[in-house]
Amino acid sequence: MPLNRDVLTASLATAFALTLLAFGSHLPMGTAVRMGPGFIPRAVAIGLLSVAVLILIKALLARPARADDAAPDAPIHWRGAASISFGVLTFALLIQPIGLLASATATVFFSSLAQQGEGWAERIVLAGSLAAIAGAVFAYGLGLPLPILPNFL
Amino acid sequence: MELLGHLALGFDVALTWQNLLLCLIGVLLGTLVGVLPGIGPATTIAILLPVTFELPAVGALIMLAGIYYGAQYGGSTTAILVNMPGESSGIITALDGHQMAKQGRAGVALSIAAIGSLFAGTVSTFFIAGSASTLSELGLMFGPAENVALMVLAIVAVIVMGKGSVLNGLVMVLIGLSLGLIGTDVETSKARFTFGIQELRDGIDFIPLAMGLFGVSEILRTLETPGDGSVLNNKISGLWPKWADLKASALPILRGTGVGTVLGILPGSGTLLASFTAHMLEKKISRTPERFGKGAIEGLASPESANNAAAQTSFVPMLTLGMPSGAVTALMIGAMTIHGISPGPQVVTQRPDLFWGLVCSMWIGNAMLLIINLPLIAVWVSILRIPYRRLVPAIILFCCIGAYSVNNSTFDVLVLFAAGLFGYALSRLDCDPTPLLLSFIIGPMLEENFRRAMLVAHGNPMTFVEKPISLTLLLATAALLVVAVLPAVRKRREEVFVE
Repeated sequence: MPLNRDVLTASLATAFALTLLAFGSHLPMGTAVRMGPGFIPRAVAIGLLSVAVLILIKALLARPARADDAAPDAPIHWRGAASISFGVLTFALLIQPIGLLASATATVFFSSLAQQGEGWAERIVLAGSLAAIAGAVFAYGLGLPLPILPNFL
Repeated sequence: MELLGHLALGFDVALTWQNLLLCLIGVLLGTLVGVLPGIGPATTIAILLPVTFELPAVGALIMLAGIYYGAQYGGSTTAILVNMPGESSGIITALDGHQMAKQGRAGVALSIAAIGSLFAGTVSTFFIAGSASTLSELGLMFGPAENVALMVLAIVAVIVMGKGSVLNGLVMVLIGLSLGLIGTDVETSKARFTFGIQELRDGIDFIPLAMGLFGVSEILRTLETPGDGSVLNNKISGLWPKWADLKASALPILRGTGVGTVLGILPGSGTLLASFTAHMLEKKISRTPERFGKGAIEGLASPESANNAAAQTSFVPMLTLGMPSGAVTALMIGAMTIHGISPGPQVVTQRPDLFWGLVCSMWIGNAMLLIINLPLIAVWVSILRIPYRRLVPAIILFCCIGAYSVNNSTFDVLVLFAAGLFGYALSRLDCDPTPLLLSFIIGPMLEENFRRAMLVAHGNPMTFVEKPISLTLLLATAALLVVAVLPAVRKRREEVFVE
């Protein structure tokens, strides 16, 4: 069977089910009257496994008919996913130590790399100005308690 | 006249200058974000939720309602002008609306959409005001067993009415429930699935989760479609509709409002079913059905009114029973919880100011849309001219700041990151994250009610089918599921989503 969407969806469901079973094994089931914290996790896990099986059965039955109508999907936008992830992670790592202005600049710069068509100068200007706007709007305008400058200053 | 008294109280709350201002800001912000191509109301609300944190509960909900209406209108603007609907019901708007824009009648289309929405909003506000008390009295009769049945119905309805296969929807629901389990068990205070991470003891916060699943993943999805630079290049002219346009749209607006008001209450139906039905209805009764899809003004006026009426009445189950009927109302329930209000039938009696204030500001928000947005069309159009590559980093930054400021916690930004990538993976798998978010939010309530119902019934699971209300709700759920897998209906559903 090719690695199609149905197989991936079923594997995803199975992965969640196994996680629930493995990390919830110590939770007591309780009784029907007084259910313990382990009852629902096991019920959800069984549900996930059953749906995974149903999806696979459906995929096997429908496979001949679907061979040609599987629309070609746009390729995964790795560049976008990587640069935006990097941008978000940068924000998470930098906001507390070096404050909003610097971390926002870095985040905007990295996530602007998601698309082509801009020069370095333009990206840097965009990053700087968006960081300044964000500082003005969120920290001063809305009064959110965000660290603005690096805490060693 | 109990109704008038309620409305008077509501307008009293909504017409304070602070709340008017919040409603105005909400409408403007909502339109601003909603106009961005590919971003629908749920995404807009998820992105803008943090803006409302510092406000009192009433103000926050009023602003969120404003954001919602603004986002809807912004979405219609994008659908009409550039044929890039941000949500499924916008697809129907774009059918005739974008054709009108192509024929140089974009201004007319936009103002008819706003006029229709205002009319629909007015009617459905009265409808909500009239039906809320009755429904919430019904809701007060619900015990844990009935609550469980109602939640199951809400979840199944979202799957059946949503896009994609029912099985994928079930996977989303179960994953949502699993994520909702993370944290401390309410009854035994035992930590579940926290993997030893301190921040997970209170569970995953729904805001970074929603922002990631809807906001970040939506951007990644949009990046896949090649096309650089701005999306709009043609000129907009002729804003005001002619008398003939108004006359041609009057009856369709009326019919659309009726269709939308009724269909909006159904749990899970959202606005797509309403717009779609309204469009079909107009086409069916028209003497010139061949004009539809080619810029027929009726084909825009009716679904836009239906869309707005349904958007409004979809708040009825949320406000009176505490039951979300889609991503938007699920987010509103999350927002209410943040402000310490537990949604449910008791809200109407315990917080009448909040309830009626919100209902009235829905209407005010609609009126503001018409008064403010039409003159500002030029501004929204200029946003559509900003190259997408500059908008992407701005939205990402906004999401990061929003996620961080929920609890001033770096961990929430990491949740945003994970949820964004996960949401992107789900959309690659043709899984709509709406049922996931919905069941994530109501999962803990579902478990609590289920366990309590079993306790009350001395461990007899038959309690769910022995109580008449619960039995009725469960039968309705079963009927929905059966209908959804019947081949004829399945084909029909596919047609809707292909169109």
